[in-house]
Amino acid sequence: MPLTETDLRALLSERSAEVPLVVDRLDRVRGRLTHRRRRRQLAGAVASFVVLLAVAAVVATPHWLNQPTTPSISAPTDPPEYYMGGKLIANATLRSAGQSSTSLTFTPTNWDLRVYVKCTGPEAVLGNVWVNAIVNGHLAPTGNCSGSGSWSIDSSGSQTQWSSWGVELGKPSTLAVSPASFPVNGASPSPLPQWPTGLLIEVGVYQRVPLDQYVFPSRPAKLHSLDLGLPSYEDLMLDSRKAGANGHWTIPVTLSQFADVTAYIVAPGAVAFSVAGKQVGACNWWDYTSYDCSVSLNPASLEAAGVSAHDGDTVEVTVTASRFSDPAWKVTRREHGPDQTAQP
Amino acid sequence: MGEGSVGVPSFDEFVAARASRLLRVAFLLTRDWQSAEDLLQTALMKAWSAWSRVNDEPEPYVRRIIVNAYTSSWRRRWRGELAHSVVPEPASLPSRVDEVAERDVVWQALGRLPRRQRAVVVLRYFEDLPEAQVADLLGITVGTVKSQTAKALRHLRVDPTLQPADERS
Repeated sequence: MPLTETDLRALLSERSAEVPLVVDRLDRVRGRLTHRRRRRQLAGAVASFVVLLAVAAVVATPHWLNQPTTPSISAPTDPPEYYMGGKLIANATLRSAGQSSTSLTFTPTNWDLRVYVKCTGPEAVLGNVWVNAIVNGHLAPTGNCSGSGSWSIDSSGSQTQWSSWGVELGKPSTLAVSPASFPVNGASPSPLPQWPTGLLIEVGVYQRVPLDQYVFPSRPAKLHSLDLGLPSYEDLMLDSRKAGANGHWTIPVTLSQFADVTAYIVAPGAVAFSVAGKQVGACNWWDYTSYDCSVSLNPASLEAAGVSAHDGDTVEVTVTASRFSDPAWKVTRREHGPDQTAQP
Repeated sequence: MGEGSVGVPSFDEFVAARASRLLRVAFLLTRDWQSAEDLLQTALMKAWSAWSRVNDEPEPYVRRIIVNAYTSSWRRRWRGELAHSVVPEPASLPSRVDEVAERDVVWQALGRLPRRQRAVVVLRYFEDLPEAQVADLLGITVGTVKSQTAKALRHLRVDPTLQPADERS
């Protein structure tokens, strides 16, 4: 039976829901802007130089043009012990031609595992490097070094996936990482003939820890703003700056196929939603970057949580905020059905 | 970086608040988080350069850059669907196996859509933009949006009879 438009909306929402965290996005944008500016300046300088050469009709080749340049190699940084809800259980660094690959051993005690791979180096190098990751001899999903320069194997909570790679709780597993060439036309990535100059690859395995055991990062002097304007189809339901940083509140929400509640969070902590004593969604956040997290509130999603309800019913949703150091969250209700799309 | 005019959030505030949403749009277009992040950062670079000219709502402006960058052909060189850093979760509830399988089929079909059709689907059904806004954003007519939507839905096996009558082609 064909899917409905509602199913399609749900599919798009679900498939894009696991947004990976990029902590330093602004820094990377700034870095790319600086790089572009320098490149343009260099291009201008080179153009001027070429013109001067032509005018002067210099025929001798300066000897220094043929001298090799000394590449800059990034220094490895210690990965954070706690990251995105997980605690570091193993890490390794790969940085020179003498190491065509690196491997590490990790012993998980739960299935909430993530592997983060971070590449640093010249942009031209990163754009041409693929990274292979092999878990206990099984090729895991791989990624490239371009763009943000980091990616993750994120099969959090998937016992099936990790088990298929031979991972067992309480027993050591091996992860091997190596750089490779970019796969072309569907071919598998192949080993690089030589180590890319200046490339540094760092890998860390993180295992989820309960929120009350997670060590939050230091609070910055200034938090991100919660005061950006909301779209016209989104209504503010609860603001911690008036309600308080931590506690329980009840808000009425009318159910519809297209309704969700969204928590905007700019500090570490947890916002949970429950109906009739049953939790229907939770938004946990781990640092001081900005995060928004949506929880569907429709009869089907409530039924999945064990609550019976119908379209159009107004239910009392209990919002529970905990572990916040600041009043740094707000909750909105969003109606994103076809009737609302006509709004400007 | 980051100073905004009255009524416009600073660039930093905007990135902090809206980047994850825009990243989701980019992901639905590219189907790969890495490419999506690259696309988003490219769009943010361009937006930063024009920030003083952005009107009250920077989000539509950045969204337009993302979509146009995606639909332009040069990106196909090596940022296509090569591999995925996220493994799809297997079906966990036996009673939902058929539904999950159906959705997987649709998700795969989404990846095979022509770029402009995929953009139309994402803008209409994820961003919930009205047809006129999608047309404006993509630089096409409303009629083309309607026809591209109908074709895309047919490919995606979404029941076209469930669309509003004026949207059927």
